[in-house]
Amino acid sequence: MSDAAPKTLVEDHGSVRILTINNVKQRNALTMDVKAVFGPALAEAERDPNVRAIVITGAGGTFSAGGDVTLFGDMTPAKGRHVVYRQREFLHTMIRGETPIIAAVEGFAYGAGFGVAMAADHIVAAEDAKFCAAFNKIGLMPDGGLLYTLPQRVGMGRAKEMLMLASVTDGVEAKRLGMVDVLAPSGSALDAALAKAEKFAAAAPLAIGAIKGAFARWPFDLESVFAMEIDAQQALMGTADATEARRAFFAKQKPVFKGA
Amino acid sequence: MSETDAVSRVDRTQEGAVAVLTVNNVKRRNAFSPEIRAELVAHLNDIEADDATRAIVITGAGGTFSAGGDLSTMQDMTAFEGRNRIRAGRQTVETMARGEKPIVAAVEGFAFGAGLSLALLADWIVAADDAKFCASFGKVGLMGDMGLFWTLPQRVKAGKAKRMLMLADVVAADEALEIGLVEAVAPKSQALSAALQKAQAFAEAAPLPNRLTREALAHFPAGLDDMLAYESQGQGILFTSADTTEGLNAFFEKRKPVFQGN
Repeated sequence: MSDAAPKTLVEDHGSVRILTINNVKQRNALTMDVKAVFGPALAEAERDPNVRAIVITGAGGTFSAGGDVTLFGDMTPAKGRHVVYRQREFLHTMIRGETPIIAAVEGFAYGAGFGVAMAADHIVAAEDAKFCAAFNKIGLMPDGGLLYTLPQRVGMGRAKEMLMLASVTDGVEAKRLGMVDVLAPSGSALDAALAKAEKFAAAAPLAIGAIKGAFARWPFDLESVFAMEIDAQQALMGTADATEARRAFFAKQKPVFKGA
Repeated sequence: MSETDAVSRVDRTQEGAVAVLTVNNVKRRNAFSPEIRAELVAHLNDIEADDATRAIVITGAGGTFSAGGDLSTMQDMTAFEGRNRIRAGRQTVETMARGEKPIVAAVEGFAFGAGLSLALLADWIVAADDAKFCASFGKVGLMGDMGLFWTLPQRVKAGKAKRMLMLADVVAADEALEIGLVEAVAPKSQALSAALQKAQAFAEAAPLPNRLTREALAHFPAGLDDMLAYESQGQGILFTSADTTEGLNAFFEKRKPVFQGN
């Protein structure tokens, strides 16, 4: 791969945008170069009304090996904090955005790469994919949002083992634990993710956005749930998409949503 | 009261960097009496201050973990005495939940009532294959206590948590593993050795990041930005630790790191 190749590849399949982390030489490590392109590409996809679902994957048969260890030896607390802090540029887009995100994981999803996968709404893993919060091996704590995302998917006991002992979980075990949603044969995670992305893309986008927005506020109490329901539902009830859905329901047709 | 004539204590032994705490009140199936609670907290405070100890195992003597609160000490209790007792229990919960060292629970036999609550305050739980878990409080007209309403839903889903808390469902080891109530199952009478092995892994892991991780997760439930703040602030400090230098050197030299906790 030449240095001139973009560090994130952007490709559209209909209304599904595929973002491919492309730093194969470093197993798609999230270097500053990669983050400089990946974050904006993600934000742009999120903003584009024609994009109804985003698939995130890695080039060359692996998802992402995580942070750029070559940078870690030369840190000050302020610099280190800044590097980790800035990951929220893409974590906020992924978790707080309105467009559904599907991760297609082949090979390694390690460290912050594991974090990117877990920040997705729906995760497809190849059977031989490997997940590891490898941070402890180099004296670091989990980042990439894993303290927030992982316990939600696997429960606190299993999350602590993964986060504190840097244990490796393969695709099959990940599916059993609910860490991922779909298991695909090795080499076909992207195909499976695209098939699922089509379904997310066909769903009413404003409702999807409201649902993502609600989950992004986790944890919440019952009063907050009522407030979210009232605020979002009254807006959704008046949309053209809700009218279209009612029409299609009574006409026994498939609705076509426009996000309006 | 017969508290003085029965053995009722928590024994501490040491296996390298792992402290083993054994609830020892066998006559009452390790019922969780106020004395046991106070001794447990005293041991945990000692261990917290002991730099040579990197991980803790909690278990019960005589082939059972703990049958729960000591009913014999709850006779004729006034409402206010009951309240004081629960407030004292809070110290146990906070010491375990907010401590900096990883805790592994080895459960043989019964983890019932407060015994279940005690086990669930551990970070990692191994059950013997014939172990049984039960939030048995309802059987004596009580509700779950010692943090169970905080710990149980962290591990199992709402439907199961309600069945356990409201119907006192007995959960066997294999089901406990399936639903995430425990992390491992060992053959009968081998829970302690499995726990020691895992505690050794916790002891060898880099301790500083795990302290920060444990502390952050003890804020459960916390929102996205709180967790992102813990990770960026914590990581900033950890980047400059000697253990991170050692970890990176070991990584590039393809050897196993040795962490000193500084």
